Amino acid sequence: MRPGKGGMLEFLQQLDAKATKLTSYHGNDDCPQGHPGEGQGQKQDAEGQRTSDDDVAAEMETLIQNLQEKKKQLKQKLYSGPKQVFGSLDNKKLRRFKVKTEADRPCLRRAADYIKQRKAELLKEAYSFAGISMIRESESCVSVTWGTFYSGQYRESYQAQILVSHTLKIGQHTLPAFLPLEELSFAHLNSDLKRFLWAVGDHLNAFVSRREQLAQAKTSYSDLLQGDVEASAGFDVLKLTLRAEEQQYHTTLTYKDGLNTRPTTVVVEDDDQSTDVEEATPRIQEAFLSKSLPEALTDIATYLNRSL
Amino acid sequence: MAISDMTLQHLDMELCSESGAGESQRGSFSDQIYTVDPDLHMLSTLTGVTFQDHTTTVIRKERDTTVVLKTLSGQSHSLSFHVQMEVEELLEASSPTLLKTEGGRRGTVNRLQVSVDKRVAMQTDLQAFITWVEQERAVLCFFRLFSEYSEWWSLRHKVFQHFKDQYSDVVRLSMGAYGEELEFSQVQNPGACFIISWLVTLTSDPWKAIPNITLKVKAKNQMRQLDEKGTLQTCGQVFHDMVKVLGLEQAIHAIIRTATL
Repeated sequence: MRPGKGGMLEFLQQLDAKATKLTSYHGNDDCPQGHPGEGQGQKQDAEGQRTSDDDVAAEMETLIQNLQEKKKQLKQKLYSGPKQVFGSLDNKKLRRFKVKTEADRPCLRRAADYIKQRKAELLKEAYSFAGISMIRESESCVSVTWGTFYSGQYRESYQAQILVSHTLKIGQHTLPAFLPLEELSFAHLNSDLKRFLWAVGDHLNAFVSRREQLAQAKTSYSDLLQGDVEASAGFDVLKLTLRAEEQQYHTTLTYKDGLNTRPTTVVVEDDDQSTDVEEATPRIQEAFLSKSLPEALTDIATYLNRSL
Repeated sequence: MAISDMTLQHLDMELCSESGAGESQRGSFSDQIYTVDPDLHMLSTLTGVTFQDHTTTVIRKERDTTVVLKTLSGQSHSLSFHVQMEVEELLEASSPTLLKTEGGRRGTVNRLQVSVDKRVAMQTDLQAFITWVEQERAVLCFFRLFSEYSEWWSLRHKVFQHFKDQYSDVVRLSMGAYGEELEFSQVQNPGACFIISWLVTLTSDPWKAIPNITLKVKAKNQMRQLDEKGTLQTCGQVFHDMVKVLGLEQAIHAIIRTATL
């Protein structure tokens, strides 16, 4: 489990409490080998069990020591942090700030540096709200995260590692299989990285849009959409059946390219080529081609019900 | 902690010691940090977006969610933007303020307000786009397209300025340094006036920024009558073909030289 940045001290205190509890079973901190204690809880019947308990205890000791050291450092930081040093962090007030005692200067410098560090972190965080964020994992590896967004909501994110040697290559990733990753890598990865990143993002967002449009449509129009909708993995080919009274309209929606959020072709078929279908087809096509799936179904539902 | 660049600059100046140690500041925090921090540098280069401020204020806390007002401002290729959104975030049990899930963001944008640089704010396409973005609360789409749009805008400015500098006696930027048109004509007896028009239009569904570069000619009737070969009429097409073959800059060089000989 990872603590939130703000809750680091709390997290350490929790761990500290747990560790203290543990050491009371295994003897005190001064004794690094941690003999099994007489305290409650631990059963020490077999030799084997005692040894593994010793190992665990030793590990815990080191962990505790490290964490206590960290806690000390953090406490220090907190007490010499910007709030303590500058008082309320208000832009107006800070802009009029003057150094009163020379001896204070290094401490003030540190506090100002901390403010800058926090600001840099916030700026990095901003990118994830804009859809793309990146972290340099090592000399030779950068991890990219693409966010997706539809209908006012942030949706799932996808990641890829870009391996940096004399060329760029994609390493591990969580990108869906239908995404033309190889094509895009071949076309842009080593010539225009920016274009590559945006292209992947575009594909992902278009996919999420198509998927969510269908989900919305299914919820709102379960009676109009009879039966199951067949969808390709990338939701770029949809086969659905519209039902109004006695008529069924088998419709296939194709989204060329992966980047489209409206279908590029709409084919309407019927079992028995009746005139109703012939008349309705252009209207159905028009609706699907020009509107989002839920909106198109609203139109179609109105049209089909009216013509009865 | 909504500390602005100006505040940080003041603090820096106030706090650097007498010995200086070269620390007296050569620019705002934003300018520096994007050069000094490798991750930020990478992010800004690869997205075309440079954030200068990111602040979050809690509006209200409910049982399972927190509603915050988030402000993101900065520039993209020197065009400024200011985005304000009301975001409703789900609280995770272990980390009260963090809503990261698998490295990504979660949450619903209930309201979105976007404003951009004055120099482009009145452009009709861009206005329509921003209206749509605010209606749909399409934050990601805004950044995606604005980055592309500003790149074109900035490129156009650079190119036009370059030709204005190089051929200052014959080239005029009639719509200003950031405008859509570059005009040129002969210095003496300018019978015809050539205008290169570089529009950046935004088309919807899917949203794209598309450059459209054309050459037009304004000529007096006399000149048109003298133009037996119909050169004036075809130069638009000629220019279009030249761009394809020579690339934009070489084509503009060629046409300016030819027309102003």
